[in-house]
Amino acid sequence: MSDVVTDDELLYRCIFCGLGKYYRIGESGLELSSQAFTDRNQAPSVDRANLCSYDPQHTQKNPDDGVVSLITGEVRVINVPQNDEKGKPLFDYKIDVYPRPTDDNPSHAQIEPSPKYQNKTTFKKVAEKLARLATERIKKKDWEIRPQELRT
Amino acid sequence: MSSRASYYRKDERYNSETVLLSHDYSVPVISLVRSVETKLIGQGTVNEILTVGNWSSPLEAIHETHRRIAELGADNETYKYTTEWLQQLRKIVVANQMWWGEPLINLSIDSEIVFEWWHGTKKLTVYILRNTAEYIKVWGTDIDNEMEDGTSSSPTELTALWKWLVS
Repeated sequence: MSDVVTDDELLYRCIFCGLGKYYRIGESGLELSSQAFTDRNQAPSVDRANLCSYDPQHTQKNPDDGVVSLITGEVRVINVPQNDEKGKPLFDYKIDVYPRPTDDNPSHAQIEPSPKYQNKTTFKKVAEKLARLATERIKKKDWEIRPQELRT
Repeated sequence: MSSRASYYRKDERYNSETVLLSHDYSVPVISLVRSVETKLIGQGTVNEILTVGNWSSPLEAIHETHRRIAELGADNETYKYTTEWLQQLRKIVVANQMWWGEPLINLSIDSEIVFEWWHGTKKLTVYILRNTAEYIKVWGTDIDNEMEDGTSSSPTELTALWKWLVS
């Protein structure tokens, strides 16, 4: 099994169903919440498509859930600065996708920073960025699997 | 029937709804709905609104927002401050005749109530925990140069925040 996620790898992220919770159709189209990319450990889980036969159903927790995709290389170019109290840049976090296979899910990976986030706001900004990346991809390529409410 | 005539007919109906809902909502909330209608008419979109449906939709949306906040299960202090904060924001929107949309609402993993608004290419996320409201402004994809965070609680700060979103 590959222990490095390559830049061109497709990543799947489950978006739990429930119109008006993590997504809705607003005035300008799809509005995808940053809360769909949060994680208690500040390391959102994704599945590596090439290790789950490019089957996004593998990522669904429930048949009604949606699945979006991200490109590893686009995640890696997220630039997150850590500033001091006066706003002066101290250093940049490196955001990466690390393989975190489990017994049940060999395709499991996580989006993690290096070093660890020093405050919650930084991770919140990363979640905003991930939501933006996923939204742009949906607009170009559609959902990998639409949530039940958005299926025709 | 002209749009203007339709508006007044609907407005009469709206007044009856005001009486009906006066047990549930304070005057500022009702005022917001009146203001939104007025603003829409001022922008010449009344025909679209009239053909879409009835005037009770904005009130239904406000109902839904309050129901959603209540069902999240946030602690009492956070819930109380959130409703006060949102009420204050609604008052500011009415006073300044600005665009309004009900937020997408969630409870964060840290038990914050999260409001999200999208307007054009801008997005505003507000995290409320206890008596603090923190925001993240997003207007692009570069976290360093196109995102900004801060706190917003005073009327002046709220006004500036909302004016940024709708500008």
